[in-house]
Amino acid sequence: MKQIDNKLLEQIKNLSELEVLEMDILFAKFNKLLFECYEEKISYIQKNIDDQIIAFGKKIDDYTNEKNSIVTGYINEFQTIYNQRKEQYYNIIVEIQELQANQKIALANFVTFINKNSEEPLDNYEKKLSALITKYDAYDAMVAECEKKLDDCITASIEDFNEIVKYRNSNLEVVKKQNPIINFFSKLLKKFTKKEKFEKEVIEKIKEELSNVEIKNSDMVNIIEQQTIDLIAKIEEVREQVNLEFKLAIQ
Amino acid sequence: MRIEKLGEVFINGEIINLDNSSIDELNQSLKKVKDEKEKVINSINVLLQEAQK
Repeated sequence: MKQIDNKLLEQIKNLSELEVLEMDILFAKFNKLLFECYEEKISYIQKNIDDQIIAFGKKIDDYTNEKNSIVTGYINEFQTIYNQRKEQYYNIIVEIQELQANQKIALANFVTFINKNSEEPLDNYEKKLSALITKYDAYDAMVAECEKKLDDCITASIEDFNEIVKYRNSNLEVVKKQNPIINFFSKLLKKFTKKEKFEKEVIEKIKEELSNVEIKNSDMVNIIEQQTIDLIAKIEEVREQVNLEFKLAIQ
Repeated sequence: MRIEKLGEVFINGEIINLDNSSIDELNQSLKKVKDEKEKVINSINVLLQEAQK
């Protein structure tokens, strides 16, 4: 019996190490997916600003400071969302790890029970074993649910990043839909646009969009934080339910 | 944008840099770990069956 206990202990230790590794890789995936999305979006914004400057017949170098200021502003907004979603992702991982720890405790209790209670009446013995197995399986189901929430967090993060560039995207669409002849005369007119008009129509407009993004993100941070709190509370509620059902089952 | 660095891990005798790996490479590493997990869980099940005898 002691030999089985030692082997079981060793396998539980192996399982723990693999679970930690799994979470590390999932976190790396989260980082990679978000960073690739961010790089694509920020490149798009930089190119969009350059295209606008060129379309108005101005020189990109003349607007380096304005462009850098705008791009830095956008980078800060992506950073804000990443930080908040990262916290959410991390909190879900912590919950998964706690559930997995609870599973191992259930396993250890299972073995302890088998070792110490083989003298119990068969009905009672089987009832308690069955309750332990049910508890273990319930934790398994909760871990699976939490893993889905990790995927949801990535999807939501990418949607948040899409929202950040939404205004820039919609402005580009309006330009594309215009008649080619109107577009040609429009471009010709733009080349003769004075610096002040260009700065008002383009630079100030982009800054105003960025300002809207900052306001929206400020609300988003609170929404994400509350989502995380609600999710953790739900997991705790289900965990308590599982424990209560177990206690009732072994009475 | 600054992202949290995770460093290196050891999977099946191989050092993997989590920060520099592509999504495909991370998915491959994840599969290796999940396959190992399944083997360990099967071993645990066998041991639990033996313990009940």
